[in-house]
Amino acid sequence: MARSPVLEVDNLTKTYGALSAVEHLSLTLQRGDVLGFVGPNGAGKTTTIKIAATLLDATEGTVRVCGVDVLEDPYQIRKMIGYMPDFFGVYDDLKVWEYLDFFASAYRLPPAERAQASRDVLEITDLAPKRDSYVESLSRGMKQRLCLAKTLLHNPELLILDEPASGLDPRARVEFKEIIKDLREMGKTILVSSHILPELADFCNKIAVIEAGRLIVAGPVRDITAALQEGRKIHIRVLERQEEALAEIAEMPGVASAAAQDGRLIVTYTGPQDSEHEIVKRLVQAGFRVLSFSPAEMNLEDAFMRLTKGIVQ
Amino acid sequence: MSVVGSWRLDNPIAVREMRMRARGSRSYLLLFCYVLILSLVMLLAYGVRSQRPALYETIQSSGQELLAILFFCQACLIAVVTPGLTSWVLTIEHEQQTMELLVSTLLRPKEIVFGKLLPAILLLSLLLLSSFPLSMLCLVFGGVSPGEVVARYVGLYAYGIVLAAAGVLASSLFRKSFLAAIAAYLFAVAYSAIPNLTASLIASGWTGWLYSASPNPAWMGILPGWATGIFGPSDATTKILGVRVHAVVLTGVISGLLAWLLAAIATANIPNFNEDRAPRVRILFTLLTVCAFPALMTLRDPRTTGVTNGDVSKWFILVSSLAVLTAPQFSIAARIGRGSDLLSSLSQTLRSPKSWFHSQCAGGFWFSLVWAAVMCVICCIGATRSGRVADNLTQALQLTWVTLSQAAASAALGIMVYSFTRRVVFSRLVCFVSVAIFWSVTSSLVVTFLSPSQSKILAGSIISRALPLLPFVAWARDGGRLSAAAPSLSLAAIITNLAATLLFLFVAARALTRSQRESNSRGDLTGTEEPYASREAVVE
Repeated sequence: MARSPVLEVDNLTKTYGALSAVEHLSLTLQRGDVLGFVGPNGAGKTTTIKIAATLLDATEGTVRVCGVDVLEDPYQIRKMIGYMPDFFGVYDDLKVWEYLDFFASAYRLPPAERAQASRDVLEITDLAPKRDSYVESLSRGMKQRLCLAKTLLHNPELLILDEPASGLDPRARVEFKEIIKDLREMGKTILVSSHILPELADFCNKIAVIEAGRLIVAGPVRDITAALQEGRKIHIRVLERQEEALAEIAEMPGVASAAAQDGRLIVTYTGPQDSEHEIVKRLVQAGFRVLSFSPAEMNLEDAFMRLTKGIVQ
Repeated sequence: MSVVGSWRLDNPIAVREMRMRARGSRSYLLLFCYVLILSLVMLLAYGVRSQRPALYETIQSSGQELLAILFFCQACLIAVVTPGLTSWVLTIEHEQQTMELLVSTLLRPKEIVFGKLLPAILLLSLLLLSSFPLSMLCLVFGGVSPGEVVARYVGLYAYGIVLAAAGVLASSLFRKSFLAAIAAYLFAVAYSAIPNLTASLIASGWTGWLYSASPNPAWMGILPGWATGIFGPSDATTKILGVRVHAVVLTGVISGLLAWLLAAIATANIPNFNEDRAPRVRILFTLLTVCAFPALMTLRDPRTTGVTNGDVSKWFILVSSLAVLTAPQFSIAARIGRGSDLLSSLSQTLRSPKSWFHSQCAGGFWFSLVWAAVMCVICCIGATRSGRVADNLTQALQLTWVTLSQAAASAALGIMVYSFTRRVVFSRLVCFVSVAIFWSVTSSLVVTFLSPSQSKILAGSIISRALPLLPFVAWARDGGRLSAAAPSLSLAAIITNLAATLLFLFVAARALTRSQRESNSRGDLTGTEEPYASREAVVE
């Protein structure tokens, strides 16, 4: 029998009075997936995450974790998920090990296992040397890692990280990314939200983009960027006869437009990606001397800007 | 998970709180100041006694006086200290943004509340223990039995636990610590002063009797002042429904239930959307009132023998006052239905007694009526025990129907207010304050200006019975004697209250229909939800 998806969001809707925070959202995460949940501020990411983390009830639709409905058995769900909120505090007057011991106890780890679990998560989050330090003495990045450490204590199936890198300096951000990559290597299923798409590109295998409560696009990172390549730009440089080359290219199927700019031909091509070489081939056959041919790379930031229109609820 | 598991002593929150309290110097400083103040007061009292020995008839009485002073001083200190120990315990989690981390673990809300309450209770125990040598000093002077000292400690401990639980409740109602502290101290003042004054007034037959030398022992079990033995002997016993009960046992049972009820309400306020904590709160409330009320009924006019009509009236005054104050608290809930659904859900829930205990407007409406009926039955049983049984029972049955109609009107009032505001805590506060103010103002006016002439008593009777928010002031004024016209007056009151009930429900249904129409025109699907971030603490 096939195993249930780790996270299954089906037709989720959440309204606050007249305001729809999330509308008919559907998502699926299989074991080992790392999903980047992206959207501008106010898009509905945190609402969706809080429903999945059993902190908020849905107006419509269902959310299941490993086949269990979050509304039916929230305590069973909490055993299976590790939730890290976007804004959180820490108990400053505790030591790092005491903080972890507290949460280990709150997650009902047997007393004999708590010390080992704390050691393990401190190793994963590179905080082992800080075990006996007071929480208040930690830097912001360390506190963020400490919160991640407490999220890992009960070895959850699914990690839900809400904007984990927000407010961190570049170094702390990189360190945090490395930890998430390690977790991915360990086979954890992770849902990580951010309002910055490129931030997730390194370690996510799936992306879901949400705006104004609606899912705009979801799927593997590669497929999404490929889909976004439609109508992509190709930069071509020919040695001479630019105008003639331009006329030649404009007649080709799949070419939406072609123009000369700064000594380059800028072609908007809507045909399949694997037939781009036909443009070069045709130019060469027509006797043009092609100096360079470079499909413009669309990075995730461009994709994000194209996908989202900046609608904020 | 078992209930025992929830109340385990290795509660992680309790461990953390105790660790944090032990690390700071505040607890030690508090303990030092507590003992210092008590010692100074005792020293002063002993000094006064040495200077003016004539004030004391015997050596034994000096021991009693010193013990009374010690416990009065302790009661004052506990009233000042205890709200400060607990009124911030949950608000601090909101303020330092850790509440979400807590509720996303496997900790149940009741474990969170217990974990917050336990360290405060332990510190309270430490404070009381620290005064033990001073109590022993009173024994040296004689006239005081060890049993009395223990009884006073039990009373004081119970008093402190109720205040601690009230502090936790206040901290669950607010997001800001200073607001919670204000609420906790207001409760401490009200809990310490109002019952004692009311007890004094009722026990004296409204003659302004205060601090009688022989207070009714039943009150000593219920009220903090009496329970601590400050105003009388703590080792008294009383007969409740034929069973002799020690005042200390009453104190323990009733204060324990009250503290439990307050903690249960606090538990219900911790965000956890899928658990309906209303049944626990309602069962505890019923249990508390059913336990406490027979004790209150032992309070009678000392000038008469047997149960009089006046006694029955006073019992019903208490029941109806409580009913009009609490009915809206139960009938206000986030699940209200829409427009005409409200009326159909009322008839549906009537057929399903289980739903009366759940958090929904219709269930709360019926629960209020059932609770009032149970209390009225207790009063009726009390009315048949002695005195002019037939008269008492006739009066009790009449007052039962009036009380039930008052409860219905008050519950409907709550539903109406909520249908307009759609904010649970706000509506409850509005109902509580407006009912309390209206009740006290109109009662005062009736009591003050009503001369004992028969016609004015009749007028007062009509007002007090017809208005759903008024208790039976005129009956008390009347000394409990019903006039010949009383049955028709009661009938008029019942009809008025039922008309008010229907009117309130009709207005509520109209308001709900209108808001539903507006929601639909905006494309809103629910219209009844509140966001988590701004979600109010639900007092059930």
